[in-house]
Amino acid sequence: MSLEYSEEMLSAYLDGESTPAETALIERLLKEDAAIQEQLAEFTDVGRLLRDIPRTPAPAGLADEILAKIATSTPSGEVIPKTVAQSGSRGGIRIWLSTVIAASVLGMASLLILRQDHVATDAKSVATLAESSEPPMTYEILDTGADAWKSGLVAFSRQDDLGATGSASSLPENQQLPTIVSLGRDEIVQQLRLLGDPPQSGDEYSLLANFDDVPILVDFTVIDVQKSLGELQVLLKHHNVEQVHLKDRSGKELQAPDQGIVAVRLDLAEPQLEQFLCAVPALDATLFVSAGKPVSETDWISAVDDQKHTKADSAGLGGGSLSRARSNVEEILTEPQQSMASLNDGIEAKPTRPGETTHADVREQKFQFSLGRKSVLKQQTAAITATATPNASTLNYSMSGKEPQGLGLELSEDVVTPFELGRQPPSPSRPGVVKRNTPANRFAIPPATATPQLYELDNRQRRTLSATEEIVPDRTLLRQRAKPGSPADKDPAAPVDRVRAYLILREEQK
Amino acid sequence: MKSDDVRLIDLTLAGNRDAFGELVVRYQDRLFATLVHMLGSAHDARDVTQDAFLSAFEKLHTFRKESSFYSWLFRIAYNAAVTNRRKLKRRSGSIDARLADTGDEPTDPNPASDPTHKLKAEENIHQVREALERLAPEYRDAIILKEFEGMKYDDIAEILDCPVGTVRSRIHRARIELKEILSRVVEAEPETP
Repeated sequence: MSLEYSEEMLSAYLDGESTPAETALIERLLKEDAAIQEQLAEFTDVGRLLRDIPRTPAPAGLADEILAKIATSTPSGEVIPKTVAQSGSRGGIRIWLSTVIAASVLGMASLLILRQDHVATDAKSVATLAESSEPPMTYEILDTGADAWKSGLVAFSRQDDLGATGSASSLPENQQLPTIVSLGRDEIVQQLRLLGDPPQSGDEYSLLANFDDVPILVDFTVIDVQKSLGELQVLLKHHNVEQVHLKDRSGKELQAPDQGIVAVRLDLAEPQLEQFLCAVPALDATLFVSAGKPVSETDWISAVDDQKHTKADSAGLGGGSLSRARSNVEEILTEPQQSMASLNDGIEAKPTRPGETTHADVREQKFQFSLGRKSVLKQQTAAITATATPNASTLNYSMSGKEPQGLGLELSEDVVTPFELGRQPPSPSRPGVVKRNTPANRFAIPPATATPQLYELDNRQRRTLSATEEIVPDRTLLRQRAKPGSPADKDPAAPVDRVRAYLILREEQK
Repeated sequence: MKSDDVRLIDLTLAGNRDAFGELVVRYQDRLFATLVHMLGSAHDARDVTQDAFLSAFEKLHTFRKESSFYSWLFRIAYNAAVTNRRKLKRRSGSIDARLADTGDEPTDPNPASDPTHKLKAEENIHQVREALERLAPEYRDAIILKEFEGMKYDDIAEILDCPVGTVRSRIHRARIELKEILSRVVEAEPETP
């Protein structure tokens, strides 16, 4: 097949990067075609003009600044213990994470190796991911210097400050600060396995960690990915650590031992968000807020299923994640009617006089709804109370007992607020659960002193919070959920608009 | 790879921080200058340069000496630059303001030249910078790595994490667009009497 000339070929020729056949062709054409000679001269001129731009020398003192900053760490990642004099300086977190990621979609298994060294100086974390074709997944603690590491997949220690950027709230000052934080093994394994594709620089990940039985959220950004000789090294930069506040239905802050609810705020580019959502067990609800149009109840209901996400996307609210959330809600919202009918059947002795209250036996209810494409059967046991209204024309029902805790969601500070079934929300401006997240506060962590504006869920919305089943990740589905024609659809690695998601999770009470 | 770089790296790994300081001094100007072109801001370039050296120091033990230290360092810096660019978006403001942020004065390679020639040379540099700024980031990065860093396509592909064919295409597109932008500038200039 004869080789055809192209300008791109000429450009490569100029750089000495053309193939021998291309080079021969170009050199032959240059002898006989003045236009190509002219083009080559123009390319050459462009290069010369660029190279003529003066080079800006590094600012004076930059080298000294760099050397001052490396004074407390070593090139092996170890950290020189701080002296008393240094202890007032900013602390940080270092994670050495060595892992082999399974590209599950590609049928590759992975070897996950974690390694951790002690305290860092300035919020830098390093992860090393080594690829392997070994099929079985095994785990190995490379650094067994501290027993604490053995219990957690990833661990890091802290000294005097958990906030690398200062943008997030740190743990309360009066709390006794443990020195080791262990991220849950299963959570990280799930998340890393879901990566499938190697991380890209700029990717951001949020990991839910258990900080001495206090749930915290740890955000990382991949700032460097180095691939060579079959190894993949990922340099992570620690962003922030923030405590997740939890309250029970009475408003009392939950203590770690009895804590069954976890709220997570995610603020990720959509592909990572999808991955993380699918890695989180016991996902109860997902609410998405973007800087664009606020999500209205109508929006939620408008989505019918995963295949009909175009409308959701057209609202400028993000892609497949939102679609999936809406789909969940839509399907779940079909359930309350059945539930009420079931309640009526469950009341054995209905009140007959105004104000009379009767109690039904504790009974079991079953709810079925869908999360993603997984059907979830939820069983709950509840005591049902029926109260006749003064005119006895209607009955109010409430459930108590072992039914799952009702949840409300505050969208600006990740606070889970109680919700009591049968009680109407205290007239929020809109009885929804979504508050517009304006551009001004979208990426800002509200000050700790801010009074959160709480929203409570009505009965119907409450149903969205009842699932406790783990979601089965399916990257294929995730890819399909990308908005048709969107950058994420054309190129899964392409950056997409960030979406803030608030999850409500519940871990099964044992 | 420069044998002297290897020696300095070995010394650094043995605990000699001054050796790493030599590496910093050796490469900071080159790295910073390229980052200024990529980011269009001396301030951002300074931050990224600093981050890159710090990261390089912390993971120096993972550096495989098959490639050059600078290439390895630059990969770190480039990824940090991409993150920086993504987070900060493109700062608003005029190109002039952006260029003012590069923090340098155009220098004349021939100081003995007459003032008119000097002004013209400065104007040319300004126009080329402006044209470079107007390129899409993926084109700009590719042509900068080629023309400023003198990298081979393979190395550029590794840094940009894309196929070599894509690098080849981007560099070509960058040249075409630069040529067109600069041609329009020339056409728009009034004729010198």
